[in-house]
Amino acid sequence: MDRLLSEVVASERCSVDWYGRMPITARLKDWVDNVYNYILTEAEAFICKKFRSRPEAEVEQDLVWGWSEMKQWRDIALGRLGVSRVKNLFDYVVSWDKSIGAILDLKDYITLPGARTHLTDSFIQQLSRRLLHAGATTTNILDVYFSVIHAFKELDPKGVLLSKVARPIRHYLRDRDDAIRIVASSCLADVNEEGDVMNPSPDICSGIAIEIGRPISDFADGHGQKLDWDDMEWMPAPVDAEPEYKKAKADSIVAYFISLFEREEFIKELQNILGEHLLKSEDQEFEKEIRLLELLKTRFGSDKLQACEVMLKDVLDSKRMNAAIRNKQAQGATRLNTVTDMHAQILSSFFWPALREDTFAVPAELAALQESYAAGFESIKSMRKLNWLPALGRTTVELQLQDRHVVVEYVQIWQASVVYAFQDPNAMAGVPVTRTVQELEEQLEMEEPLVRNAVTFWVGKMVLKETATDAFTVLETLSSKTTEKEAAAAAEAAEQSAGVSAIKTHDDLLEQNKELYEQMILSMLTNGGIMDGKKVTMMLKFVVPGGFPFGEDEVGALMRGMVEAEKLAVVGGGFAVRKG
Amino acid sequence: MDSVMNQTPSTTPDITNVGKTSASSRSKESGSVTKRLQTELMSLMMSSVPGISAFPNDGDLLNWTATISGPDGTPYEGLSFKLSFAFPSTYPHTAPLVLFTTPIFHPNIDFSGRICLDILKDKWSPIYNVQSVLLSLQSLLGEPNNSSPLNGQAAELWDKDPAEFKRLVLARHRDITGDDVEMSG
Repeated sequence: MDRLLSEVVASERCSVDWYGRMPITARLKDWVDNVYNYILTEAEAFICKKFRSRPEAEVEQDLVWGWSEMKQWRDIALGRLGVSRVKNLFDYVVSWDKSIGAILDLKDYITLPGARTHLTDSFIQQLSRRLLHAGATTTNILDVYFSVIHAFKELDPKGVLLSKVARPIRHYLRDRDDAIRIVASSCLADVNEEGDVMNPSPDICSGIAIEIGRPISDFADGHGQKLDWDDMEWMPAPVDAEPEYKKAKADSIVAYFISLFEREEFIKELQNILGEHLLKSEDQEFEKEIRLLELLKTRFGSDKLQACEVMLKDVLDSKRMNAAIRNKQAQGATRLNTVTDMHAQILSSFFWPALREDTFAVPAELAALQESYAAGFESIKSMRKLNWLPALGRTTVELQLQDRHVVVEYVQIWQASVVYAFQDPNAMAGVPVTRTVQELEEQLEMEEPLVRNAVTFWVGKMVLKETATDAFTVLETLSSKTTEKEAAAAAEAAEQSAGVSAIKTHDDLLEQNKELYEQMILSMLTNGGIMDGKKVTMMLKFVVPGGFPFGEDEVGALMRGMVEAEKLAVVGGGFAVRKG
Repeated sequence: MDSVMNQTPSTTPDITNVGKTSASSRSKESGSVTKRLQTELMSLMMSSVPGISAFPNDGDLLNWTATISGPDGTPYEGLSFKLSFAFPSTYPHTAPLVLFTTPIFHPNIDFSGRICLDILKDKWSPIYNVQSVLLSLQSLLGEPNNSSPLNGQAAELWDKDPAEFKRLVLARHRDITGDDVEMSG
């Protein structure tokens, strides 16, 4: 009889309902009540008849199964089903929400004694074996976490089970350096009407992006933690709840992700990403950004997000400023040619993350535009001066080549400047202009990485061609042969060159402050004696104002560089100042 | 290590004195003290004057260790001296307590490292900072004020017998390695 039960649970009848998305437990219970009960009675009767010689009526009296015994059988059946579901729970969670049937099956299971612990233990084990290892990408883990939240909220709306199984995931995610960036950028990802993420990238967790796009009322935390006396559905906290467990009623799914990180850190990351996003954004209304900010304000308090607010206000103000200056210039129509399509973003540098400040010579026409704009700005806001950050701008470039006309939109200014430098009024007709990287560097007063980036960009657009090492020539005519062969390679190169971002990267920041850090390390070692990389990192974190965002690895590399430059010496596992 | 032991009694009264005067406003001011010290540290790092350097001790912005090298053309040429800075919570309105931790033979510095310098006493002003104190001390090494000596023998020998003076300087000087400083700090 026991085997029969197991077989039924493992059989086709009890497989997960993937299509109807309904639990099958009702059917199972029904089967136990009727079919199984019947077989059981018959079997018992048979056995009794065979081995005993009692009157039949008496036997039948004995064999009417009581309700409590029926319930036991039911529980056993549910238990078996539950165990088999738990075994594959990870798969069900990953394929949420098609697997809702399986999750609902478990809902009955967890009412059984001991089932909840078995479920959490087993699931945590599956998680650590299948997900929480170096092979899984952070986005992947975030996606699974997202499904876990959904599945376990369905399973146990009180969130006790969720808080238990989520702990290892959260713990693990905190160790992933890129997790915070991915969550923050997912918050700002574009979602189209169908609920799909536009331009998906490996760095965006689509679940979060879609969740952020939900109507704002879903997130409003109206009741707070106050006890609602009119709540007729009130239930005591489940028995396995932790002491610190609080019933978080209106907790949105986004909250689970945001609360993963330290509040300050998340806001810092958000500032960086918001800054880049605002500068790149082609949408002039910034509705989504405003909404996100309001949403986060209810969560973090408005004072924490002041910088983000100022950033948003900056871009909105800039729009007005652009219009005002354009108007002014149009009125003073004496210089017709200055009425142009230049939009400036006026940023309050104090509130923005460290921006790229690379300077270089912009084309003369552009410089003139900047000047007239700055004049317009100063006439509106007296006592204020504009400080141009040419590396952040974008423009549309039109190129007239011998056999074709190239128009490229959203070109970085430095890329435009580089291609502008290939324009040479003295060049003889028919002879393509050639420039070397070094020439460009000098002519444009631009740093080498930027020049190279720009050159690769134009090679990718099939405008330039590397004719010799570091020397580039304008591709005035496209021969059909080269087109096909080089198109693929060129496109690839272009993709790579797109990777320079407006916000300073970690490495840029390190490079920029290298001198200061080196000086600090020198004085630290002069006065504090021999120290190892770990201690130096700790000290730097302690003394550098505004925080020291680098870890032991970066500091170690910096110090090894200083050893090579003969500023430091390695002494017994630590570093010391080399006496000159 | 003996010099370190000797400092302790002199250090304690000073610090507690300062603590009493500012007990009420201490918590409020300690934030501004660390802020000021952090700015001082940054400007010190940026300017990087040769021959002087200073850095906070392990996890404590209110106690620094500084190093100055003896100026050329003085008996202290080629030697380096370590100092300890203890900033009261009323800094910069009160002078920091500065002591030589390296034993030094000098007319205005006694054998426990205490310094007789007007700007560290009654002439202190909030416009001074770590860098200016270090520079003053460096110049004090070359131009002692022999009219108010802490070390009478040194004051006498400075003019009378430069050779003997130099000998005593070298005899007294010992390089404190980083480890020693750490143990005492």
